[in-house]
Amino acid sequence: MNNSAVSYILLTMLFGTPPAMAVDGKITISAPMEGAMVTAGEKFKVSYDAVLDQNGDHLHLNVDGKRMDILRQLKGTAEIDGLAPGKHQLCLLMNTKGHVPTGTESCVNVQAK
Amino acid sequence: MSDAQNLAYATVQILHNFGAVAAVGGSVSAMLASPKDRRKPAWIAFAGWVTQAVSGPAFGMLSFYFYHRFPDIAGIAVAALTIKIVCAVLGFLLVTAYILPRPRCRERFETLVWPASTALAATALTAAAVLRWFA
Repeated sequence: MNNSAVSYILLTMLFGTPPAMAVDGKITISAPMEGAMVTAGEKFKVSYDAVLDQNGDHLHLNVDGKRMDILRQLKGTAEIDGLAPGKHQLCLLMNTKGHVPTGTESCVNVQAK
Repeated sequence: MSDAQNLAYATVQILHNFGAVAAVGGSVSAMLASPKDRRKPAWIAFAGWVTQAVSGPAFGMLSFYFYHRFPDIAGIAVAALTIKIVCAVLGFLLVTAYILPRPRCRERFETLVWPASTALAATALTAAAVLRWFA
């Protein structure tokens, strides 16, 4: 057994299992695409996929900065009620258990017509 | 979240939960007790309301300390939080007024203070459940 393996075992015995490396969070919105056109007043779905960061627990779905939904599944779709005609911004924000944004987020702009 | 953060939030939650128990339990006990036996439950209710008033904002302060941001709550959750704050302020004022010496209108006030404090505590407890699941 080499020296580094011995030190690893001794340190683990002293301080416990070393913590896992912090995971960088990521949110991907696969639909609608950036700049996509949606029908005004009609419901549509947002498809997303998220990897939680170290403090992340769930996602908040915001439309134009206003919270529309809380998403606890890390992958799936969320429905958005019909939007008024014009430009809108859809954002998914990662939040802690205490509903504080962790800073990991993803946004797309859509045009409702 | 780190263990330190979880421990901090859990500690505040423990205080908040016991505060709720004391506010409801003290108020109900005082309401059911005879007028001469109300002093002790009144202090329990008072301790409960003070604990609620201190531990409630502590949740937000912890978030600000750890993340430099307050929790992002909206809609029904904001309404529930507002109800909780109003109940805590009124409950604290009512029970403080009971504990402090008040010579005028004493009898009428003593008849109403405990049903009112009980109703406020029960409303705050109900709003807490709504806040928890709509936040």
